[in-house]
Amino acid sequence: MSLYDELLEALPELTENDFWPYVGTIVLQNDSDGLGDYIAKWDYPKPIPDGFKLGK
Amino acid sequence: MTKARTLADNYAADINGITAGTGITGGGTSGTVTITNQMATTIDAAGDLIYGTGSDAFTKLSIGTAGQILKVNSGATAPEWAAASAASGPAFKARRTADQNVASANTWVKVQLNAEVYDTDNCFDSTTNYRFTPTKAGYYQFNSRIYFPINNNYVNFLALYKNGTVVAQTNAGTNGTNANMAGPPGLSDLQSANGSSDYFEIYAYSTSAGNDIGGGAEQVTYFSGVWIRGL
Repeated sequence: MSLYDELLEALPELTENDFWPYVGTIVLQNDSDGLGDYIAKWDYPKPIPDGFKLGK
Repeated sequence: MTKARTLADNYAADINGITAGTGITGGGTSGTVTITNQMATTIDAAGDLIYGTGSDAFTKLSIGTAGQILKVNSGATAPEWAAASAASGPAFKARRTADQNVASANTWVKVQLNAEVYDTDNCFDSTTNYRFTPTKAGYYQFNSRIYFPINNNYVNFLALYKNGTVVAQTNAGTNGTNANMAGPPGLSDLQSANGSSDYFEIYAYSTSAGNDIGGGAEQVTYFSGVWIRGL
């Protein structure tokens, strides 16, 4: 399961629009360095769910 | 018998001596007096230049070689001849050789541009970080295009990142009806670079999971750039 899917599961209220480039409040990123997906930006009104973190 | 007058006789209103001032040599109090312009005698050959080295002091700079220009030295203390700067800078084009899978939806993924079409100044890293780090300060024109398979009802994005932050972005989408009408995203942008630490990368994003960024010949998925002018 991808980080995106895991976040949707942890916060069911999230939609694709919350991640939408430029206008979304959450940015997920993968720098193709073998470290996988991570949360690059979190401006969503609620805190990052337990078990997740900002950055790699 | 009439005595010849000399400067040393010091008659009233007479000049009784000539003394060399700054930049002048010679002088005397009698007979033929010669004064010489030191600046003129410092010049030995055609093209010699005279410049100051301090208060009331000067020296010579011999002519340079063909095509050289006059510039201030590194210590900002004197002029010197130097080769004229070529009005050019780094240029590169990198491409993706094989498909790159983007497993996660709605996630920016760095495009691994793993081959170089050209890289004039070895500024593109096509093995580790897949980024362009120009070694000459200035403004750079960038162009990029990625191939994403087209399907119904999703949108693909392409972004130019500078030092890890998006600075230009574009997208192409499909509407479910005319899927094949949607083109792959491409972008162009002009960005400044400091010529040392600034770097540029390409990221892709799709609202559909499991897409492949197409790889192959240089026209499929690429990132190119060229120095345009100084800062």
